[in-house]
Amino acid sequence: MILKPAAEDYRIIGHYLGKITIGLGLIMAVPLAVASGYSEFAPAVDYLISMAITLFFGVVLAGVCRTGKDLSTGHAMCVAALSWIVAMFFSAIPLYLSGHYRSYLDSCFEAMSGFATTGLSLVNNLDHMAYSHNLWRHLTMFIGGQGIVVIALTFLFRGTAGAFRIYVGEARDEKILPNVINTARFIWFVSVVYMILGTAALSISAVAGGLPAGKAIFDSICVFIAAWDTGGFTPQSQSILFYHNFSFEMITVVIMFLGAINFALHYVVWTGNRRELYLNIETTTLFISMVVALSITAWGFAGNGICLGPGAFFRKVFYQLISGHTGTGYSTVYPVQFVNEWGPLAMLGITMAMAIGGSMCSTTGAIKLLRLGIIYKAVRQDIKKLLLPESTVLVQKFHHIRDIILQDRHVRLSAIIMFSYMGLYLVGTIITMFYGYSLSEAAFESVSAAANVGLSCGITSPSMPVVLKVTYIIQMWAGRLEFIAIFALGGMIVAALKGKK
Amino acid sequence: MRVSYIIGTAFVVFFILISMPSHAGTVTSRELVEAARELDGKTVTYRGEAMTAVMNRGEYSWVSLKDGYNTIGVWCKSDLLKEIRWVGGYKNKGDMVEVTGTFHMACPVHGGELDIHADEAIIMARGFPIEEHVSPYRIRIAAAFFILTLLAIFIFRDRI
Amino acid sequence: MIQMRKGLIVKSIWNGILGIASEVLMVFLFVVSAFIICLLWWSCVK
Repeated sequence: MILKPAAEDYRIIGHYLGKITIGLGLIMAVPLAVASGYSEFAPAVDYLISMAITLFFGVVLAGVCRTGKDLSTGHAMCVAALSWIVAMFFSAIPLYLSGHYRSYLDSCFEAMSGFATTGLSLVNNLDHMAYSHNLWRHLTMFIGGQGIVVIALTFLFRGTAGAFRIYVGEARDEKILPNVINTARFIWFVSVVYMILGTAALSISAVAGGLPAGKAIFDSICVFIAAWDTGGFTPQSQSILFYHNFSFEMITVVIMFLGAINFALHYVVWTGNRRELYLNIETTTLFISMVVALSITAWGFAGNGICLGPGAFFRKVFYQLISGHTGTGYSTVYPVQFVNEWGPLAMLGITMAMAIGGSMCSTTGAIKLLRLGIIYKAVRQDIKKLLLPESTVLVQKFHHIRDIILQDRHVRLSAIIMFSYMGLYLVGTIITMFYGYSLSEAAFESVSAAANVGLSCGITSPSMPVVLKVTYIIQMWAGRLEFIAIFALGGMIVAALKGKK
Repeated sequence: MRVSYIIGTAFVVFFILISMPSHAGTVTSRELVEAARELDGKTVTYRGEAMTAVMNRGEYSWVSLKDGYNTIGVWCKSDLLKEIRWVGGYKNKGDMVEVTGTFHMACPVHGGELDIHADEAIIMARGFPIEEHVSPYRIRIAAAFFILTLLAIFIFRDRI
Repeated sequence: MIQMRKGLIVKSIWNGILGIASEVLMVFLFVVSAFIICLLWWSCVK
């Protein structure tokens, strides 16, 4: 029997949703300030409108749904799932008003792509875009990557139990420190330290490459945000190719890697346990999966008859691969080149890397290394069991921060999420193939959306069919939240329709 | 009268068309990206708006030229690009530059990038500042919503 | 007491710096091994 949600349940959800919306409205002050700083008046008005609408909605929602109660897990999951949709609709307003998007749907796509740290883009004429709009695109990645809730946690919420439950709903179930506020603060701390270092390094490299200092610093901030949060938007339509700069590329590689590392791992390494870097199941899995995917991609790329020296070969193949593996989506080739020049096998290698993704509790999407590692260990344990006498008691361990004994519940959780991802990849691929694309193209683009990567082989463009746009929006959303919150929301809707009082 | 006029115009147009010099070498960015294999190593003429910045690397410079579809990186002697005064951005329309040079699908010198090594660069049209238009209608909407928001905050002041 | 706290802060800053360095070193090792793999495949095919 399913219980129909009571009015109180809706009130709780509405109240916290309202609060998060208020938070989003307040953040719009940042692009507003930037617009004023660069004296971009038309965008400034756009942000005034968007801010006012967002705040109005948030205040009314939080006010009407007044409640004194804290969130339960179910509510928190629904708030997490809904807040991303609501945030998408509101952050799309300034983008739509900018006039760089064909329709409101396109700007919604862009906003979801930003929040989900995907990086697929439907923007027109990006190079003529205002600084403030460009910053807002990147800021959505920062908000989504650092977690809408992590931000709300640090500034807005008083009670922490409920807040922590939404945090779990955003697929960040690892408590690095015993206290959730401290966890959020640590995530901020690491991000800010690397932001200073990364932006400085990128700026120096860009200035050395001949870019004017002002533009170099602005771009470096944007590129850092998008690389660290494994997003993939760039201020230039040519992505990283625009900079024509090897050192710039390599710095982004470092930032992408660091962004794909678990925050819990950052914590133990920063507090003195440096050996953990080489023992951790996630880094070892990352190494193995990188070697395999790189080999496939390199083999495929080498077979396509393009003559390149070893240095250029490495630069091209490795950059796209690692950008895909860490879920960033920066590229130094034009999208169509994947199809025309790289060929299906190289695309498959990158698709594989994209489907695996980075670490848990980082900003990458996809199946994630820990789950893959756990499933590998489980398979190994089962094979061992077959070979040994039945009476043997076999204990399988894996090392993640500490030695953990592999239990069935670990495997079960990992397998459920992994199969959900596989399903999501497959559905997207099939829908894309309905529009006449080949399997390798469709799989590439669909995995890129669902795994929150953002590499494109040319399917994503403003002229693509509406159905595909909606499909990819849903894929990005579901892939980002890792299903559980969405299942909870689905359950809530079913209960509301069919449940008994 | 009218018929002869049309026929006359058609003839003139026809002769202009056939007497035009062959522009086989002029390409769009779409062709460069999508038919890169066929054009690789050929001499092409490409025209686009200079975007964002001319990146000086000593004797040579990078400039990004954008036509309607894509932006293509052009590697060119710095002296040839001295004349560029306007680069495209939010507040400017960049100079329209036509370059002629060798197209590389995967440039051996520049880490396998798709680029043009230009020997000539001519400025076809000057850029200009773009007038920003602030719609008074939007200002009114913004004001209206702000008043509404303040009102809502006042009404719900102790409920949020 | 204050001496001890000072020592602790210095130690944690030092740990943080070493942490960043070792993370960057790890990425460097990843990149180098990737380069070797690429080189192997490249020479196999050429």
